[in-house]
Amino acid sequence: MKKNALKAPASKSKKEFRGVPKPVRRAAAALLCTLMILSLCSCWSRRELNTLAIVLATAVDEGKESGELKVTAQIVSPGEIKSGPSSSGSKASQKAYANIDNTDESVISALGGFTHITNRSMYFSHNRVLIFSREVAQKDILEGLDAFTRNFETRMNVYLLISKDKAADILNEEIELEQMPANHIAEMVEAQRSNSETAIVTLLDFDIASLSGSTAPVAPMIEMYEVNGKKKSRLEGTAVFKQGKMIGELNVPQTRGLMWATGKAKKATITIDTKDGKIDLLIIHAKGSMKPDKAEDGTFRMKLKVYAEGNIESNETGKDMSSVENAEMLKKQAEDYIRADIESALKHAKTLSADVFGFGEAIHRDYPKDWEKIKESWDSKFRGLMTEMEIDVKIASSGGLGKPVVQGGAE
Amino acid sequence: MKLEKGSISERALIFSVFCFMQGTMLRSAFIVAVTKNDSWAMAFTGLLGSLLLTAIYAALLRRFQEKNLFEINELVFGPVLGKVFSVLYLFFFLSLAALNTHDIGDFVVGYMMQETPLAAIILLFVLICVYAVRKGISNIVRLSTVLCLIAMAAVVINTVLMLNSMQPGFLKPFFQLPFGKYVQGTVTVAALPMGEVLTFTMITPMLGKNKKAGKMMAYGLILAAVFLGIVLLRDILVLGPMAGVLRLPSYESVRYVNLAGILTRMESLYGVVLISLYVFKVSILLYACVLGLAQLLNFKSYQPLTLICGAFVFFYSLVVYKSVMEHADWGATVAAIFSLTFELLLPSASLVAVSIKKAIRLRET
Amino acid sequence: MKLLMCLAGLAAIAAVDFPKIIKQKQRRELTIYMAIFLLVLALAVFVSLDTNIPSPVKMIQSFYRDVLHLSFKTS
Repeated sequence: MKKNALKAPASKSKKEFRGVPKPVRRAAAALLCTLMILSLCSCWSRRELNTLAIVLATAVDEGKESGELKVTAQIVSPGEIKSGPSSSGSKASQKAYANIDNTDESVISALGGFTHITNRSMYFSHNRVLIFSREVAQKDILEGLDAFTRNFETRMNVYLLISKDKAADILNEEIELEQMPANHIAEMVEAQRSNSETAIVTLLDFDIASLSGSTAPVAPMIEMYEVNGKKKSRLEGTAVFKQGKMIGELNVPQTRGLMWATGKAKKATITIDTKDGKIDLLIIHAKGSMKPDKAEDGTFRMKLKVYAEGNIESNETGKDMSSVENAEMLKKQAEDYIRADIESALKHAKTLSADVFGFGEAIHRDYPKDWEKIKESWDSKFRGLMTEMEIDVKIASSGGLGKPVVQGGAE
Repeated sequence: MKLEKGSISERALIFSVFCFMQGTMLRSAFIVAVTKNDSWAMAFTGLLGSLLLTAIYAALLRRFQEKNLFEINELVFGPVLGKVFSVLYLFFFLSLAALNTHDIGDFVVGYMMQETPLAAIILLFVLICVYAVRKGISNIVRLSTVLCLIAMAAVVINTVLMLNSMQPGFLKPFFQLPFGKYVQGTVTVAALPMGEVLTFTMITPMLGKNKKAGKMMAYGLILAAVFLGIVLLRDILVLGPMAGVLRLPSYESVRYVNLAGILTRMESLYGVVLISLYVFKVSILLYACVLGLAQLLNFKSYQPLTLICGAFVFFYSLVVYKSVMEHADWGATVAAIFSLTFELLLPSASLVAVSIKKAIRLRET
Repeated sequence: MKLLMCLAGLAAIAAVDFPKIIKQKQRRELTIYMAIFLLVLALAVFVSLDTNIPSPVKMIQSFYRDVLHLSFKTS
């Protein structure tokens, strides 16, 4: 049975292992390795990189005929990406991206129709920006968004933008600093945190606001303008939605007010106009909160609290702003500035009858039983809602200069 | 009779119970869809319910030291009726194994590789579990310690990374839903992830000192409930009302992680941990099936039955649902009650029968 | 095609398990094993031919919902 040519104990235990002779074991190991190789590379649903069209930005416009949608996708062509910003001398080189578009009845059929046009399959996991044109937003944006929420490849932290004109034009922007407009736009949206004059809205934020019965979702607006013959894009204003349709806009000061009130403003620049000149304050921290307050007769008032802390960034008046009374005056003026912004935002939201601030949700969270009673008539209640504002600005320092540098200032 | 010569330590039992429950992170959609933003509380009320179940199991195990569930059935109800009960339990374990296998196959196919036929993924999965069962329970349980650490680390890391996307306001309003929903949520949590600790009653004889089996199971359940609560809390805080609408809230919330543009796409980590946890869970369920079948048929060893049982679970899991919507429907309506009959009704019947027998015997003497 | 794969798989299972049982010469266990094997074979044939096998889970669901009236309502 066991052939032991060598009587050494090591080989005896190795020749047979649990009654399975060595060649059989070797064959079994080889079979196992083959099986693993076959299964681990998962060739059934394989996706090779050169058959993928990596979509970085998507734009949805109205098609030529009514009821049709044109979807433009910006695809990266990996071979053309260079490491530095493209210099003007390389005008002859290819662009690092390609915009392709397709028109069809709905977003998904338009996306599927891309297979008729390009040789690669669309891969949405890197999609950073989603731009809807104003016409599509005014008709119904939730239909278009459903495809992107339901899909497994798209992510919820896609930035949502509404374009004032054609969305496809935004993707054709000519920029010097980035190779692809999509990255430029996405990073521009992220950079808005430092000025707090634009809402930063991801698909998740928009969906959460849509799911709530009372809040009106918002999305930032982007437009193209021309400078030196080149087309550039700019973020300005906010679009307000209700029932999935765009019903109005907030301009820049109103958007600022919205940001202050909802506590989303973190860094901002406030320009105060005094009789002697302009003073700029750079706000470094800002906190905002809103609390509903129930009066005895059952009506609600909202208490808005804004706390901002900042430094004097520039002083054009020539006067010494670091003295205590001047600092007090600046503080009051900054508070009035913020108050004016918030009030203008409130007024405009009330005319639009759109609760962009989320007051309804705040009431729902703190007084759920009362909310059940008033949620049907929230539109009218919102129009008549009283608000109290408590704004506190702290001017922490006057920057690097104490007294300003003026002619004869040292004497 | 002991068909298994392996043994497991007490700590391994605690970690095994934990890993067993953590796999149900995938099915948290059932609970969140029902109780929405109060789902995190269901983790704890469900824990209380399942501790009740564990008390019943511990009482049974204490009276019959070193005997597993099927042997207890025969001792309590006599050979014929006991075998009937055992067949019912066996059907329960087989169904659980098939349902869980289908779950994980569905996850992989649905989310990652959409064109692959479900059978291919499930085949690979079942092959691994069969191999694990053939190697013996002590090996499977040894896996649980490492897996437990990995799963805990994954949950903690993902939670920490998501801290800046959380909005505490999503937790309010507290407890505003009709009371029936909370009952449904508690029963679902107690029966579906936690009540399945019944499976461990098949394995507890391996402990040796059976007295502490109930305590170990309870510790494992408490640990699992804490982590389940953390996961539910995290999902609600990040996703808000979307958590009740999405099909896999944990997956989507992990996808949202974006730390400085560098630490993104963490969902692959989540997917890997989930699949490992499910391998563990199905291995233990399969082991319980095979051991039970061997005891029912008075086999001397369970080894010949592993492959054929695995094949049965494979075909059963292919047949079990036709679509994801049926799965959600099952989970929302009948799943908890189906599990409860086997987790609550039958063991309580055994306990009652034992007490009656004891009372009769005391009266006779 | 699917049928062939299933049959091949089951044949492989038989090849691994049968020799052991036959070697141990346990008549009773062999018969029981054959019975289970044939059951799984029948199931495999039906599944691979895409026949509409009623899922036991659905039957349980209708049993609990309609006969015993013990189910949660879907919201």
